[in-house]
Amino acid sequence: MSELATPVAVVCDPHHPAADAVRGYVAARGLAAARWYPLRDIDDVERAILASRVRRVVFASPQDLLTAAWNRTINPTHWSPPGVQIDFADSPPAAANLDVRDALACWQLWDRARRRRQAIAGVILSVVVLAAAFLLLLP
Amino acid sequence: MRALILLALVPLLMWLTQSALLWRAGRPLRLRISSTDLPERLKRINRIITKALFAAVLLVYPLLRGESPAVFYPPFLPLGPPMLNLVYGGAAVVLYLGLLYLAWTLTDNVRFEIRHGPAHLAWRLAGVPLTALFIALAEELLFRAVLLNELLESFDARLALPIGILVFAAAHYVRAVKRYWTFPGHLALGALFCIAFYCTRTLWLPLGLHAGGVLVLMAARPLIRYTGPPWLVGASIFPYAGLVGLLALGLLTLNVWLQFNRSI
Repeated sequence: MSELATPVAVVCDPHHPAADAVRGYVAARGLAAARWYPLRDIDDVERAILASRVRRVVFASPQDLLTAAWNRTINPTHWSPPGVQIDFADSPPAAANLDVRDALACWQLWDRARRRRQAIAGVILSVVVLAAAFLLLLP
Repeated sequence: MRALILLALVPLLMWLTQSALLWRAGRPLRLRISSTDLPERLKRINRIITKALFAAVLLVYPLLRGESPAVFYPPFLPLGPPMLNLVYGGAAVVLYLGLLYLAWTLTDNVRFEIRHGPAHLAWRLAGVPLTALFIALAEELLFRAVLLNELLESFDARLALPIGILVFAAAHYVRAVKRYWTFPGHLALGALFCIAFYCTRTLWLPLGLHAGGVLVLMAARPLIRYTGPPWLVGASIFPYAGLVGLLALGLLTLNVWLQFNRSI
């Protein structure tokens, strides 16, 4: 099936905790023909927006879109062209205009996960370099 | 026991000095040794007196042994091949710390961030080598040449070394400090320096290790920000206090032991 088939994209992992809610949201708005993308393929959706193949994107929550922006997986300016509608299944219709506190709360969740990944990477790399130093200094 | 007694007198005299200065400034006395609340001029006097107390220990101790300082200390810094241990110690510490900082920078647990203007930064960094050497020399003379040497003369190494390590670590907390969870880091540091002295019976190796460590930490301080969790990267000037720092100190101690090998 061609990537060009539908102007509506749903960005949500099949096993996302809110996947059922997203399916309900999509069905209630008659968007059954929407194409589903896993979160890791959000950059494909961005390319589709730039090519004007997608005009409406549904996310489970603002967290998913903002996380992709903070991870630099997408370019936020590419998501603001006129005529592109962004929906969040867990929010009322006007939620695209996020409260700053909501954005900060999203950032906190993202930052916590990022710090956890960095700490784990830090431990692993530290052990590797310490082993190297120890071996280098062996008589 | 002369060394232990002399060192134990230092916090007592520090407290008496502090109390006198607090009384002079019209402030209430307190049990903790801390210079907060003292006017700046009296803080400076307090610092000078503290340094003078440590210098007094270094001068008085050899006299109590019936030796002049000029005779007592030189054997701990013999000229010739043992001086190379200074370079080994410094290089080993720079290797460990340098690799750790590299690993932490690559994983964004430490960030390179210049926080001063060029002139101020240059001024700060210019003073680091001499300051590192001075701090390390003073502490090594005090805790190894005076204290540990006497402990090793009086007791079996299995007792002398733990006492030497404990006193060294505790000395860093005599004055009120911001954080106490770094104590295991100071214990590990004390173990490294004490083992280094024990293996060589001169100050060159512990001096190299100590000065190398102080050099790297002081040079890095105005240039980096610790963004990782304290259990990983320690805290500010104490990166060795985190779990990884403790592991690093343990491995380096083992390196020193294997390189200079002496059985306890």
